Amino acid sequence: MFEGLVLFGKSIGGFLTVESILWALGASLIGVVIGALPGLTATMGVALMTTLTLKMEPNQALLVLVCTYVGAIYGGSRSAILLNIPGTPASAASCLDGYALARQGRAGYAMGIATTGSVMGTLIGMFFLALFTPLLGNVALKFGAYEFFWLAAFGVVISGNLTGDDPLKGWMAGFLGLFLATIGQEGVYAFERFTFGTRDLAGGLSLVPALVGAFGFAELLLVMRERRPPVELSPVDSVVPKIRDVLKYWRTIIRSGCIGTFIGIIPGVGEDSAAWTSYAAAKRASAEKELFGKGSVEGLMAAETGDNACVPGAIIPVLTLQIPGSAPAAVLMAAMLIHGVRPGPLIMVESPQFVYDIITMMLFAVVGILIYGLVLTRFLVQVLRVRYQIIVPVIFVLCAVGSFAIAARLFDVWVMLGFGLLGFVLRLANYPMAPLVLGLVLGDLLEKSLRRGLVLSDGDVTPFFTRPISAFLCALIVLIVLSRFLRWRPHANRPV
Amino acid sequence: MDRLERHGAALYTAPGLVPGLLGLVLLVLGVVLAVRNRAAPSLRLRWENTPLVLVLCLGYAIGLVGRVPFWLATFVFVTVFIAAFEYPSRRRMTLAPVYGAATSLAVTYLFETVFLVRLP
Repeated sequence: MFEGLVLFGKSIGGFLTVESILWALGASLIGVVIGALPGLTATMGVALMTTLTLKMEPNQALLVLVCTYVGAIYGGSRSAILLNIPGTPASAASCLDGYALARQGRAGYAMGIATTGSVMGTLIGMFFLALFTPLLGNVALKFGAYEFFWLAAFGVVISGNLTGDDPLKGWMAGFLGLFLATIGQEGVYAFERFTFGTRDLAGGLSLVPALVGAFGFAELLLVMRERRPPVELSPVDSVVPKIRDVLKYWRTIIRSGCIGTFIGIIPGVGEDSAAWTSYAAAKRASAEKELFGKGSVEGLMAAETGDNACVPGAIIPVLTLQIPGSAPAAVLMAAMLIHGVRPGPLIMVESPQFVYDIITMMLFAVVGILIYGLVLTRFLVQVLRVRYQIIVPVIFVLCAVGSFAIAARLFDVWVMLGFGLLGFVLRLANYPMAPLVLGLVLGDLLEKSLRRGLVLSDGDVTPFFTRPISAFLCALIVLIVLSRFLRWRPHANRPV
Repeated sequence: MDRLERHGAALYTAPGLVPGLLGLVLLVLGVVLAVRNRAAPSLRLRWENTPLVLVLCLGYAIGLVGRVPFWLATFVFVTVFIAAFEYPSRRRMTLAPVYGAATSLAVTYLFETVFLVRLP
């Protein structure tokens, strides 16, 4: 307990420099702007910033990425409230009551509530991050190859199950991601697979260009697909909420914070599910159920607390198991690996300080969103008037340069383009992207664990089913799949 | 052809094991999807502006980047992109080169000087 506080104090001391504060404020602002613009998501923001921060000192680079991530998830509420369009998918639940409040002439108040909810959600998530990371780390130490194999498979299955409308398409996206991760030399015999004789593919597909493509280029193609009418923004009143209004919903804040964090811990599910689940739970428990969807402050508070609490939650499995809890956390994990940080079960043994560094980075991000949410609201509102014709080519230039910058080879730019086109077509056909990304990230772990397990048992598959944690995870996967198979009904494809 | 059995590779350590299993899972899921949606109408995609965006973006990333100086490629791409989508507003189209030059300068400076990253 006290050891944790000492490490936390050390982290704060280490980051309390002018340079770090400026990076944190700048990155939070970039995150908020990216999040506020419909079509540009947190994953895209973190992926682009990863390429920009390659040459920075690891702690500074990760500070920038964490602040961008937190800022982007928060920023989505701006357009949800003012335009009834979620800036990021995480803010979809905020549209219901946020926009209803804006139509009642209380847009500023709604943004203040969203800011408070986001800050409280992140703080609750940070508390659980500090509490659970050592505990989960201890459990993870018991994991061997068999458990990691099932954990990787579980991540893809649960992510496919809970993201998107159709679990079958979610699983296909996830397994496609796992399949694409097998491209290149495999780990045991250095045998080249699916490289077609090209040296560029021998090392496999670079993760960051693939993510920049799937979330950057694909999103730009979607944004530019149709011409948008000029935006009409609701007028903004006072953005500072009354303390009394916030305290009134303390139960909702704590409940949503807990739900958000726990959904964050589930591999690959992410912030949008956290927001919707928190919103539904708040509605069930509320004394003012009839106000939900018509401008309920409690509903908005629940959604915003839930999605922001999910951010620290999604980082817990990254740190302890090397399994991301959401799509942006997957990019963050890739960035950690690029910067030489090796998260995993040994994190609390080898570098406990790093866990508290991440918590400190979150604290800086919270300060950033609090400042921008309460002081710069009117400026941020103007960002929503920006014309997509102007920002889209600029972002595409960043996508291309960022992909090149990872290894200084043009092939990575083509990987970005390929994944952009793949992501665009898959989205049009209603396939979710989060399982695809999770599959790409977890492919290596799944394969290594399976083959290592089989080598250890001399080809015997029984340990995969008889070890307690393995058996539990396997049973969980079977249950999830069976429950969905039994519920399926044929339905027509929607035109997109 | 040199086969991996020579190196003592067993079936369960074969490099094709995981891609094979994943391919099998994808095949099964694909068949289930096809059976489930056999009566559904085929997907109707609305492309709208996509062909123009694709031509411009692919033209830049494949045709220009790495072949002409980066600043020039970026200037041309951003200018043409904005002009194409601001058409027919003449006032906005005339601003396109300004945005193109600003982006080209800012990105070149930011990547090369601030973030110390190599440009194509």
